[in-house]
Amino acid sequence: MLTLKNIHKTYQTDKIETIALNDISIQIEKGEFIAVMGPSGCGKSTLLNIMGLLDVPSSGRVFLSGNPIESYKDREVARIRNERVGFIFQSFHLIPDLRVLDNVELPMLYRKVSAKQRRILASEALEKVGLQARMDHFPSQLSGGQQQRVAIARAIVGNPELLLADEPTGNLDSHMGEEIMQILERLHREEQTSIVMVTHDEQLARRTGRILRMHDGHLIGVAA
Amino acid sequence: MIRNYLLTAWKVLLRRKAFTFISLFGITLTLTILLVCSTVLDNTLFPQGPQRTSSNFLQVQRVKTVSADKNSTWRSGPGFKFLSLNVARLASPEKISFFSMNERGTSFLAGQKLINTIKRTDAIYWEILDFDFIEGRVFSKSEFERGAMVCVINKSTKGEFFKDGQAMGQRLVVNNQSFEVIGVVEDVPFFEDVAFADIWVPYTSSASTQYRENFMGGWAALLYHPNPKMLQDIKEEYAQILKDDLKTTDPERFAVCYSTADSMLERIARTFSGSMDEESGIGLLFTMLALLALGFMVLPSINLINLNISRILERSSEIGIRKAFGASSRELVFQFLVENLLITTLGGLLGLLFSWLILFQIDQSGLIPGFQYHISLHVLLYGLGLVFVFGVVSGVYPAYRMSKLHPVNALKGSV
Repeated sequence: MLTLKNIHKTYQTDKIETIALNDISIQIEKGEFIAVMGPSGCGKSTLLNIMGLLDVPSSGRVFLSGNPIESYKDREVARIRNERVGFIFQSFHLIPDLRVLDNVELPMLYRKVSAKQRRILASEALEKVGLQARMDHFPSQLSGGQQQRVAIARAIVGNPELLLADEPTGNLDSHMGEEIMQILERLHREEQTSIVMVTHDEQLARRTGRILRMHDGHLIGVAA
Repeated sequence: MIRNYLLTAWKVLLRRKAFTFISLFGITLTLTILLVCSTVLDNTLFPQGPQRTSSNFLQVQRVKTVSADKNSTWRSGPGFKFLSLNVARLASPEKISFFSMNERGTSFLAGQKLINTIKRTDAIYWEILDFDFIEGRVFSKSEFERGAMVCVINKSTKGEFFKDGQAMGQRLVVNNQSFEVIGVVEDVPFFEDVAFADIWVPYTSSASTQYRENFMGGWAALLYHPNPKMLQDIKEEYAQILKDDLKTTDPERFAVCYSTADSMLERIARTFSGSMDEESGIGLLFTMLALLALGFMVLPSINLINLNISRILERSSEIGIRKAFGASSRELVFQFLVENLLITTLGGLLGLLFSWLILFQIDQSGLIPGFQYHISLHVLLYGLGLVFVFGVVSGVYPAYRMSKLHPVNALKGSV
């Protein structure tokens, strides 16, 4: 489904060049659940951003369903992100001024979907994460675990093929982290959603189908 | 989608109260001043008083003469003699009226000195202009011809002379002449200068007939036609007479005369341009007004642009989220413009309210007699137009900057 070939990513700050990713090649198949592990600053998030088309590699190529991403214009990339990719962030990134339901609806704003249909889809997504009763609350009225469940509902409301989770349990205690992991596992199992999850938790990583280990921008190991 | 944008915008406005206050203050102040100025301008260009018939008449108010030796020129209003020799011969106007420029009228009432403005007119003047009569009537053609000592006064003058008592049939003495009041009209705003006066009397009632001999100074004419399209013919005929068949009292002193029959707008434009030829300078006038309005809007716009850019920095995370979930640059620009139009519309509504209050106060204070304080449809449209321009101008650049933020940097808040 998603193929990364010889990806390099470097950042230029003043006179220093930082290599974030160094010759990374990965193939992600439909329905896979992959964990990405490695120490802080090894390039995990950069890799996830490139997979999610939020960032472009300095060199190398990204293929989605066999099509090279560099051939798409800005608007087309935005559309692909909207229809085929869902993001879950460590710090939730909910919009504080919007209610839970409006936050979950957000990806559907950029599709040709009626307001009524948006409501229904958002409500269904919230039901999947067990938060339908909280749809009229604001993010600040929810616990961390609940906010991350709202973020998951937002990520899955558009029924994406690929879910990218950047340390989704990183800001949560173990109990709440477990809840989130169970939701992700259920989505993977029941909806065949491909998931790539960055994590520092070895226990959680072992519950996925494949672990990619990174160090200093290199892919140093793949464990099934 | 727009509901979501408006909801977000509203929440941001409530959350950032200081920002909202500064933005609204700037927009409201700018629009209030522009709307008040526009209303005054609107009342001048589109009169609501007696000059509401202005699309049907032209005015002759300025003449420039050049002597035969070209050493002497004279610019002033036309004299009665000039008008009777040249303007009275025009065949194309349906009605021609002569009237004097305003003169000062002095009266003494119970030991108090009263100063008023007098206009001396003919009877046709009242047929061309559309005065609002409170009581009484205009002077008739026969009263005019026999020089009857009658007058029409405005409401304020009635109050000055007669308080709350009866004015009709009473006499008032102005400049040592006694006139019988035969009509009372609503006050006329000063910017309707063709109609403006406190007391109107037949010019045939003048104590002296010397005015009839003056070639230059102190008079004006109205040239009326029921069909506004015919006004161009009147202009051309007048130009033709002055060019080919000028009648003058002194061929040496007044060998050549330059004068134009102007619409109200043309005459206002000439006041600014000083032009005496066919080109009145309307284009220049409107360019000046537009530049003035634009110039006045530039500073608050820059202020709002700066505020908007700093607001973007605060909301970078939201921009990153929207980009991550599929918002294109174009959609983000649209969102930000909607937000900006919301705040400018709020400012616009407050501006309208304040303008109304200020105009109402001007009206109540009697500062400008006869001033129409209501905001007309024209001004409302100017106002809405200005709000829109203001919203777009101050929103486009920040919106563009916002839409170009890199989503990863925006999510990190490092913009």
